[in-house]
Amino acid sequence: MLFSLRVALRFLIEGKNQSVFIIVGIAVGVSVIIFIGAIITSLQFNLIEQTLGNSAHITISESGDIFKDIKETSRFSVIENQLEETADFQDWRPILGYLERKNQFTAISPVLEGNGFLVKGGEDTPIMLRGVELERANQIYQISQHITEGDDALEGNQILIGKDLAADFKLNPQDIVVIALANNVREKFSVQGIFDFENESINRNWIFIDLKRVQKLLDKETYISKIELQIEDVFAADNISRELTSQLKILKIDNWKEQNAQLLNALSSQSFSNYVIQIFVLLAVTLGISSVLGISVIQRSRELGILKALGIRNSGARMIFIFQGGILGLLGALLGALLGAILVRSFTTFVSVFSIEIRPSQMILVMIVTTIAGIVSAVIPANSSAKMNPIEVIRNA
Amino acid sequence: MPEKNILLEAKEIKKIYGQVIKTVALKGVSLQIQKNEFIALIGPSGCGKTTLANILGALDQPTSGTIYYKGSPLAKMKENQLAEFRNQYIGFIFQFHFLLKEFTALENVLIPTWIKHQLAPAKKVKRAKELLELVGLKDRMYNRGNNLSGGQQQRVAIARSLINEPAFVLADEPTGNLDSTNTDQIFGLLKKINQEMETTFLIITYERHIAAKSNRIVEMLDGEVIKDFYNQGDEDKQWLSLAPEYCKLCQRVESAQVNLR
Repeated sequence: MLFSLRVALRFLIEGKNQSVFIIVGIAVGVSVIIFIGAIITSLQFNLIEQTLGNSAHITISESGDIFKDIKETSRFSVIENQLEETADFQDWRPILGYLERKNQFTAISPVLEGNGFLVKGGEDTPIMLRGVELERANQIYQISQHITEGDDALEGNQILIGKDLAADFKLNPQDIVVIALANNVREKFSVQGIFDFENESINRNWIFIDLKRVQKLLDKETYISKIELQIEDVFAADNISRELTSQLKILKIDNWKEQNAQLLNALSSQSFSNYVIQIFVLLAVTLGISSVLGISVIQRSRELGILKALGIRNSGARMIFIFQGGILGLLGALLGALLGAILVRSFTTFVSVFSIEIRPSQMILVMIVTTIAGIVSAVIPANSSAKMNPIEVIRNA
Repeated sequence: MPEKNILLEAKEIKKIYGQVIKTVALKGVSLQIQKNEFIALIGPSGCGKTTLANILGALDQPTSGTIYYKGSPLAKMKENQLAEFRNQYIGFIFQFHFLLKEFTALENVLIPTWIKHQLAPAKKVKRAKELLELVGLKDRMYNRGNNLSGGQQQRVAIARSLINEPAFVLADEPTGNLDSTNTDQIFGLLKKINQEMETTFLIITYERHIAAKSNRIVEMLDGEVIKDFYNQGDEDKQWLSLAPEYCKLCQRVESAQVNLR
C-alpha cells in the first residue's frame, strides 16, 4: 500500500502537466458545484426567510372537536360554517409550560385575535387585533426591529399599527384612535408605534395590543386563540407538528408546510435541478479523471511491467491508480473549493441582491464526494493496470 | 554434481503461443540448474531462449511441464505467490534496462525491497548503497533513471536484481546494447558477484566471449536444447568448436554493431 502510494505520487509529480490539467479540470467542476449549490441554497434560505421569518412555523389552536361527530354526520352546511370559526381555548397555560419544557422551540407566543374596526374622523376600516405578550411576540415577529416610528411599548391602551394603516388615516405616534369590537365595545387607544413588515396586508390590517388588555376587552379573560411557535429547522415543522398532534390530542396543530405547498413544490424542484446539475458535473469530472488515468496506464505500461516482474502484486498495481485517482480528486476538490469560494465572494460583491453563503458542511461534503469520484473513476484504469502482463511489456520493449 | 544442489529444475517444458495459429516456442525442454552456476544460454534469435528464461523466472507459465524450485513445483502457486516468489528468489536484469525513470538510482535499487516491506529498513538502504558502489555508481546514486547513460542504467538494474539477495539471477542479454568496454565491465561484475555472493546466474547472450567465460553453456535451437556442457580449458577454441554456426551469426551481429557506431 505504502509503496503503491509512493509510486502514485511519483507518477503524478513526474506527469506534472497532465496532473495539473486534470486537477484544474476537476477544480472547475467542483467550483461550479459549490457555486450553484451555494446560490440555490441561499436563494431558498432567502425565500424561506421571507416567507417564514416573521410568521409562525407551527400553530396550536382549539380543534373544535366537540362538534366533530355532528360535522361528520351532518347534511347541513350551516353547521359547517359555524365550525369554520376558530374556537378560542382556555387551558393554555399548562400547554405553554409543556412546550417550554420541550426545549424544541425558538419562539412560543400565545395570541388572542379579535376582529374590529378602526374609526377615525368618520371613516372606518376593518382591522385584526392581535393580543400578544410583546416579549414573546418579538421572538417571532421582531416587532421592535420593525418599528419605523414611535416605540414598541404595549401597556394599557397602547397599540402598534402598520405603516399602510397609518398612511391611510394619517396617523402618527401618540394619536388617539377608536376601535370598535365585535361585542359592541368601543375604546380609545393611543398609537404607540408604527411598524413595517414589508407586507401590505399585515401593514394595513394588523394591530398589536397587550394580550391581557384584549382579553378583557373581548371578555375572554382566560382565553387565547392560538399558540404560535417557531422552530430551528423549518423543514422539521411537519414532523414536530405530527408529534405534537399525538401528544396534544384535542388541539389542532397546523404547520407552514401544509399551508405553503406551492412554495415547497418550488423549493423541491429547485433542489432537484441543483442535484441534476451537480450529478452531471460530477459525472463529467469522473469521466475526465478516468480517461486521463486510462491513458496514464498505457503510458506507464513499461514501468508497470517492471514492477510486476519485480514482484508487485496485482492489488499493488491496482492501488497505484486508485491512489492517483483519489489524490487527483482531493487536490481538485481543494482547489475547486477555493475557486468556488472566490466565485461566490465576487458574485456577492458585484452581482447579487441577496447574500450568498457557503456552508462549510456543504463544502466538505462536495470534497468528500469528489475524492470518492476520483477513486471510483480510477477503478477501470486500475483494473487494466492489474491485468497487465509483464511478459507483453518486456517482449514489446 | 549431486542432486541436492539442484536449485531450479525444468521438466518437459512446452510453450505454445497463439490460439488459432499456433507457434511452438519450446518443444519440451528439460534443464537442471545447480547452485552457484554461471550459465550462458545461447542460440539464434527466436530459438526460445527468452521464453525459457521467463518461464524459469516465474514470469510466464509453460503450456505444459513444470518448474521446480528446490524440489517444489511452481505450477501450484497462485498469482500473488508467484509475485512474491519473483520478488524474493529471482533477480531480473532485462535487455532494455527498465529502470523507473521517475525514481533515482538508489530508489530503483530499493524497489524490490519496497515491494517486499513497503518501507526500506536502514540496513537495506545501506546495502543498496554498497551495491551501487560495487557497480561503480557511488556518485550517481541520486541521479534520476533518465539521467544515467545506458551502461549506468544497466548497472543500476544489476544492483536492483541483487538487493533482495535472490538465489537466482536471470539476465536477458544484459549487455545487448552496450559497447564492448561496458560489456566487459558488466560481465566481470556479474562473475564477481557469482563468486562472492554465491548467486546462481543464467545469462542469455550473443557475446561469444561472455559465453566462453561461463562455466556452463546451454545452446538452444528451434525450441530445444541442443548442447549443454561444462566449460573447460581454452575458451576461444572451445567456443569455436562448440558452435560454428552460432559463431558466424555472432560475428555478423558484432560487425553490424560496429557499423552502427
